[in-house]
Amino acid sequence: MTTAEELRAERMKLMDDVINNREPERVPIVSSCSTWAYYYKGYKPIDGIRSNEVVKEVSRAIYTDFYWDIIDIGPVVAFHPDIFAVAGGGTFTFTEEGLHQTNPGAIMVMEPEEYPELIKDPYEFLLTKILPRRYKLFAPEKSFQEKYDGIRKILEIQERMAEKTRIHDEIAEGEFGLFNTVGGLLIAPVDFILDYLRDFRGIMQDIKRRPEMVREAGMALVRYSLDSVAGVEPSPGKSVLIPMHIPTFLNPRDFEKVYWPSFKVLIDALVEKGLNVKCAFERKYEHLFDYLQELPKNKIVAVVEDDDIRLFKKKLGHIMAIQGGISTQALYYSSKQECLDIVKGLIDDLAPGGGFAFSTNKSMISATDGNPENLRAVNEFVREYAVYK
Amino acid sequence: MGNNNREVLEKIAKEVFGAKTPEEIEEAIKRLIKIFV
Repeated sequence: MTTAEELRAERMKLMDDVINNREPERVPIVSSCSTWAYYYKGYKPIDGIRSNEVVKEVSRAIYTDFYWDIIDIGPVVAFHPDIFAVAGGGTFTFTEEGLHQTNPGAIMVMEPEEYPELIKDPYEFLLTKILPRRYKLFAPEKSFQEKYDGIRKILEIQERMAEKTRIHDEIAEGEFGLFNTVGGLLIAPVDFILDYLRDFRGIMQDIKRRPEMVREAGMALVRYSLDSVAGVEPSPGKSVLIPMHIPTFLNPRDFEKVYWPSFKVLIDALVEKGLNVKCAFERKYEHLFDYLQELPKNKIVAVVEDDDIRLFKKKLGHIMAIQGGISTQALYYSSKQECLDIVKGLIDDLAPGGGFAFSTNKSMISATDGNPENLRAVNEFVREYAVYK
Repeated sequence: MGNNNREVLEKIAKEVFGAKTPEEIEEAIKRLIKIFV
C-alpha cells in the first residue's frame, strides 16, 4: 500500500516535470478549491473562521470526495474580520458569510504628488504616511499603549489563522499525500500600487500623466516585493505565486513603459534565487504575449484565466508550463457530459509534450464556482484519461 | 501620542520577534509593516 508520504513524493515529481516542460507520468490535477469547499459541505466561510473543527471536516471532505494531486489554494480563509475591526480600517470589508471584498474608497490613501516619497524609501513612507491614513490604530491621537495592545491582539489573531493553515496542510499532505505547490506569495510592484495605494482610477491617471513616476516607484518596490518571500527556499515542484492584476487593462505601450521594467527585474531576481514562479494571468494577456516570450525558460507556470488556453500554449508553451482548463462557469452551468467533452478536448490538445497541469481557470470561491457532480466527473476523467505511459 | 508608530513596532520587534541587533530590529519592523499593508 502506498503511503501518504510516497504519494506526495510521486505528485511532487508530477509537478516538477510540468514546470520543467517534461512529460510527467500523467497530467496532474491541481486544486484551486478555496472557500467553495464550505458551501459544498453546507457551511459558510465564516464557519471556518470560527471553528478549526469545521476546517478539518471541510478539508477532509473535499480531498475524499474529489480526486486531486496538487494543491494551489486550500479551503482556508485568508483574512479574519477581527483584524480589521481591531485595526480600525483596511482595504477589505466582509460579507455576512465571511468572504472579503474590496472596501470602496479605502484603497486610495496616497496622493499622486507623493510618488517621490514612496520612491525614496517605501517602508518609511508606508509606516509614516499610509498606515495612519488606513487604520485608526496607527493614527497620531492613539496612545503608545493602545497601539501596542492592538498590534499584539492582531498578531494573536494572525497566529490563530496560521494554525488553520497548518491544520489544513497536515490533513492534505499527511493524510491524503497531496503536494502543496505554492511555496509563497507576493504582489508585483505596480500591482501593489494599484491594490494598496492608488486604486484603479488613480493609477490609470498616473500612468497617463506621470508614467515615469509609476515606473520608478515600481523599481523602488522590487525589494519590498522580494521581501515577501525572503524565507522561501527553492524546492522541486514548488513555485511562488504572483497574482497579476493590472496588465490586462494596459495597452502594450503602457505595459512596456510602467509595468514590465520592475516585473522583469522581479522575475529575474526570483529565478536567480532558484525559485519557480507561478504567474496567475488574471483575465486576458494575448496583447502582451510578445513580452512574456522574454521570461526565463522552464521557470514559470502560467495560470491561464480567460485567454484561449490553446493559443497560450501554442505561443508560450515552449517558454513556460501552462495550468488551467475548465472555467468555473462551465463547471457550474454546463451539464456533466458537456464538461467531459470540454475536458477531453483540452487534454487532447494541451497534454501532448507535457508542460500542462489541469485545474479550473480560477479559484473556486463561491457556491456557484462549480457543480460538485461535474467537478467529481472531470477530475476522475482526467485521472484516467490523461496518462502518458 | 503623536506619530510614535516606529517606537511601538520596535518594542514589538524586540518582544515578539526577539530582535536584538539594529539590523534584526529593522528587519522585524519591515515584517510588521508588511502585515498591515
